[in-house]
Amino acid sequence: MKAAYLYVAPLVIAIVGIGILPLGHAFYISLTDFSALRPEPEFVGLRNYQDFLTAPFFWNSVQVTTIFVVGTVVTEFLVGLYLALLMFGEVRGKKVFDKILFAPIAISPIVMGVLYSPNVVLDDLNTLLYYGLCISPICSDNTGVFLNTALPVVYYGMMILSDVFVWGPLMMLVILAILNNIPKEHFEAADVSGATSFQIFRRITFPAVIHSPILAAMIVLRAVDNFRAYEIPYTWSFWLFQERLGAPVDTFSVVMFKLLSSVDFPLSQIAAIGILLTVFSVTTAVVVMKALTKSWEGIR
Amino acid sequence: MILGKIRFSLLCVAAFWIIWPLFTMFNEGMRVDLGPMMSGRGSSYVGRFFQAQGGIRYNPLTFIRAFTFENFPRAVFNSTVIAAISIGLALAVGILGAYALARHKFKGGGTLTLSVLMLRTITPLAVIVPFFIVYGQIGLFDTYIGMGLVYLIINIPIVTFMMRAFFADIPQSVYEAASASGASEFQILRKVALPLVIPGILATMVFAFVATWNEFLFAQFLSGVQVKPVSRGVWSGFAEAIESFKVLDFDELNANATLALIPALALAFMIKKYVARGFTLGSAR
Repeated sequence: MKAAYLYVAPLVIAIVGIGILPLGHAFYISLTDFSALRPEPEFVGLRNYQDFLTAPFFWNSVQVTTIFVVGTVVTEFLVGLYLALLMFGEVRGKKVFDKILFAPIAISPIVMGVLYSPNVVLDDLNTLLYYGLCISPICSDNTGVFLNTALPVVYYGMMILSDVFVWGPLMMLVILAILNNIPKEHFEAADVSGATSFQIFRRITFPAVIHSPILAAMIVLRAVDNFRAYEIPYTWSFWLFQERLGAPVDTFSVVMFKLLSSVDFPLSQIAAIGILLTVFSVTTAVVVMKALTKSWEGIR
Repeated sequence: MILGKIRFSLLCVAAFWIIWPLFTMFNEGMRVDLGPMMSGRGSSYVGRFFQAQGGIRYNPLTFIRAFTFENFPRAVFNSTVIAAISIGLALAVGILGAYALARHKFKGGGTLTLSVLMLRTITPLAVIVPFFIVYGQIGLFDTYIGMGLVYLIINIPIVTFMMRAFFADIPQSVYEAASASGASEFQILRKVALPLVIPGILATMVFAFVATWNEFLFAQFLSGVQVKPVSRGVWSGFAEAIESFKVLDFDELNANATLALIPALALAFMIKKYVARGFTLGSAR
């Protein structure tokens, strides 16, 4: 198959040019002490890696990143499954709901950070809770703020909610695609044998969704994406007035972002963190590859 | 019937959950604080609490300002040029590769798929340092070409995986019929396969465009004032606000966000059918 090699040659060149060479360059930089203060880099070995792994903000970032990734992926799956079950089959106004639930997909993540900020949606939410519902005894404690953004449960909740706002409906689309692939005969047979709707869910729908390689691929991709997410946590580090390193919402990416924005511009440190994250994501890529290969074979 | 009604009302709740933030975004963009000009007149008590309300008026001033002083059309133009360069290159490279991957089994195909997947999973922050240094040296910083090249990292995986799925959708018998009638390998691609996947190419282009339009990190660090794209315009943000002693203006943020959302949303609706496929690297249909 000589033609195949001819076809993939530009792709290979592009991958080397924009992927592998920059990564190699980043790895080289990460072994030096290159920064704005030291434009003539010296070779320092693995010191940057050591610095990062022993930095006080390292474990904080591990914790924040884990909470964010697990929280978003689990919530997105649950919301997606819930919406998909509501939308599956005949329902009044399906076309309209279809359009509305599709809308968040085009939103930029940085906008989500702004939109769910304490000044915009959270403010509405507070107004609603405080003046609208007026749940006592909270109403009587004169603070005027119901959801205190200093509480971890509030800021993690809002960060996760803003991510779910975009990706929950998308998960719904994916799960609906899986549900539509279930042969109609299964449901007909269940109807004939008099199964309740809960039994249908437990015996047909749920197993089909859970065992689908498409869902597996989607979930792993979401986990990878959120592992490197920076927009939403980055904006939240501002909403919480935490511009220092090691703030309560610093994921790995936000740490790098803050280093990039800092004055001494420690490029070698950033490169070291980047290489560590890349090692992690390449490992994940191998895992996703397995799930994806299954799903690609499934659709043939 | 009662179940149908419950389902309908639950869906209404879900729809409200989606619409409300979007409406708020527009609404906040429409709020204009004329407080400095008319101090005192709009001050009021909300509940028991004194609110220095200034004179908050509901009008499209912020939107108009985005088009006049803030030069939003320029950002749209920049984003479009960058996306056109990047998507054009990605399509040229990706379609050929995707066709080979979908059609032929060859040694190294698995490795190639894995490397495209790696490109999809590496964090942009890992490669931003080398891009930053190299662009500074060869003068690609803050240029359309430079931004277009760096966005290939996002667009090549999108194009390769989506197009690969579209090529795989063509029944094998079509290819067999073409080669039986004596078409050469290149003719099969040009005369048979490509015309069949034109809707797929359009969907891929739109999908990649929305992804490029929304991308923030490369925009933040590799563009300057010349080619500032929309996603960076939306975050007219904190760093700038702190440096210039400007108060962060939520009205402006929200107005810009609304303006940036409208074209992306319109385009996304056009390819609604293919979006699930795009986000699952071509596995969902």
